[in-house]
Amino acid sequence: MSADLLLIEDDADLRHTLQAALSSEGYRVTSAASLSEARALLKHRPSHLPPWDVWLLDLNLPDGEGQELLALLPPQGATACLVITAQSDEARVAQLLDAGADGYLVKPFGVLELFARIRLALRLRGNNNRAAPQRYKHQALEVDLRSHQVSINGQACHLTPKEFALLACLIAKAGQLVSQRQLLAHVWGAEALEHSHYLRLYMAQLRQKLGDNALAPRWLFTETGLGYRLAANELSA
Amino acid sequence: MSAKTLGIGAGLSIWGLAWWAMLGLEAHWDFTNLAMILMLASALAAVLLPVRLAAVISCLSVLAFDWLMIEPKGSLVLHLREHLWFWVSLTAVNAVVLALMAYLRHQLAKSRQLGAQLGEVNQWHQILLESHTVTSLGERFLAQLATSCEQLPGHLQLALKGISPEAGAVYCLWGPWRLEQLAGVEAAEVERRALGPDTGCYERWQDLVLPILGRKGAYGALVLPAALPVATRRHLQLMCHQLGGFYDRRTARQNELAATAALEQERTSKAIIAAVSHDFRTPLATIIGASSSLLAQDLKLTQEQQREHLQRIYQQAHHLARVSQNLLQLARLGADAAISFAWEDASELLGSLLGQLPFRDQVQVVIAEHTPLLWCNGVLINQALLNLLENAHRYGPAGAPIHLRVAVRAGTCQWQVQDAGRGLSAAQAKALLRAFQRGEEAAHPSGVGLGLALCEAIARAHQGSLSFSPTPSSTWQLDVPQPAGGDRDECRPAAD
Repeated sequence: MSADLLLIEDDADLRHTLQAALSSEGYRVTSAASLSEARALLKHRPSHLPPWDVWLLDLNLPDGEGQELLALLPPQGATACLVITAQSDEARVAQLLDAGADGYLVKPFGVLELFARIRLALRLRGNNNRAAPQRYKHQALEVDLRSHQVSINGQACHLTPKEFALLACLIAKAGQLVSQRQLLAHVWGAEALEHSHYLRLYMAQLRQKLGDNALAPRWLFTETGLGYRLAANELSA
Repeated sequence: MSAKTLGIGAGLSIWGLAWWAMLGLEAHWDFTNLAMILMLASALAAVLLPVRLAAVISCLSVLAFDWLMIEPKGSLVLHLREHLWFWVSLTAVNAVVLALMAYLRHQLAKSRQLGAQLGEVNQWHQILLESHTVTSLGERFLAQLATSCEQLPGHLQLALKGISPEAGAVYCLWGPWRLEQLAGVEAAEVERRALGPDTGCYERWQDLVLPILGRKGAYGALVLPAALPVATRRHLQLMCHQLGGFYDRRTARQNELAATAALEQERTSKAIIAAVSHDFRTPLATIIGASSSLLAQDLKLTQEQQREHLQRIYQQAHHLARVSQNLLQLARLGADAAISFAWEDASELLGSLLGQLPFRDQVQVVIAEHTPLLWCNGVLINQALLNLLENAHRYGPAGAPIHLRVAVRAGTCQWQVQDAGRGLSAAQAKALLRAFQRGEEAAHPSGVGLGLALCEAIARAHQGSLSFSPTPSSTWQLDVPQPAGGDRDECRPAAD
């Protein structure tokens, strides 16, 4: 595994521990201990080098909020950003996801969880660079976005326009957490951002039609207080 | 036709009848017997006629009786001494009857007025039992005064202190005020009595100032532009005192609530400190013991022993992370941080919860049919259920099923976690709950105390409750009241 990582973490012990663990996994890690140091690294990155593949960004930095760096993320999803936070405040996390973060890790976390998140972020970053998927497949579920065809085990499944729009929005970011606000804005428009009960009702309908069980989901996963995640697209792997 | 006119008509009719009877019977009866009819008519008419009219008619009737009935007729002269005494007695008895009737009527009017005032005082008392803002209080008071006292001068001025403790000595004012009148309010509050004309204090003032007094202080004053009859002034002062009593009760209630909240805070803090010291020390002891052993004895320990120590450190650190997460959440709830509520789907919440559980195969979930959307904070409810499930798993029989049930009954969502019956004993569970209600220390397994404290805090944050039932097997129940509106058919968007 060889990828360029930018680790922005102010706690020296945690920074050295993570840097050692990541380096031993084969990642090339550059680290910064503050917001200003991270800004300097981003500004003076030699132009012949590509952007970092993944940022690991701590939110609470001594000279400001790490969130400010999200505005400096390279365009077209060239860099994935994993936010490291000590707060499990779901409203804050949802806000970060809406601002462009690709995922989050709540302290404390183990290195195995960190490695898994980085692998997923790298895979999704690769997807971001490609054209938006027109087809989705995970186990028995297949969706053709162009023809609006949905099938389970080859059997056609009829979805209403809203249910299909919901599914399509999740397919566009398959494998990633999509916030409730993003889904509501995409399917019902900006005026429905507070109507989270629409999501509950339509997700229940969608699950019923797809034969998914909310208690033991195969495709549609709930992250309480944050949003929903569709299982990764096997066709993009 | 008014009652007064009817009374005059009836009184005059009585006199008419009496004179008709006396004139008709004059030829047959002695004048002493006829005088009885005169006395009877005088007494009856005095009940119905105005006092002065009754007195005039009665006097004229006595003279006319002398003129018409007593010898020599056609003259007011009385020749016989017996006739003179009879006439004097008749006049005296008549006067006494009239005086008695006048006195009775005066007392009756007075008692009616007192009864009416008592009714008004009672009505005002009922109004003061309602909750008020200072604005509504002042307006209701002025409206009540207007209905109570018809003879009040045109405009009243009222100064009332704010009701909330933060308002301090700031007055709300009704009516046109002059600066010196405000000084009068302060003087009446200091003197703690009525000031102004006919009050015996500050008599030269033009305004009458009635202070609004309670036992705990003065809360403003009512200012009237003229002197009033003593009875009316006393009545108004009584109503002002009632208003002062309202302020006293309100202040006492606010003090009581503040004291209860402080006591509750202290109890919770004591319970949390007790739980924290217990729940943190045990895993820390394991971590420090195992890590110091690794540092000091690494050459003496076998590779397998070293790995066991590392494993223990890893597990206890994870346990500490859970405990600190609970503590953080408790602190947030204790700090009255704003909690967001949303409509949640029970199966989605539980699906997300089960995904976090390493022992998910042990958990048997039953969601009642037709369960509506639930109004709650999904993250907090999941955290409470996670704590209850972990307790059931850690302290219940290994591998035994844990039942998790959800149902909405009578407007309350009931979340039940039931273990196989050998988890916490009933006595332990009761002691723990009591510990958090009373702020006492209780013996309990590591990690349970803080977890339950958080469950109870989450229940409270939802205006709900946490309870324990030992039969048929240990069951923790989290009750969360539900508003209307969660019905799936009713809250569906209009069109797809």
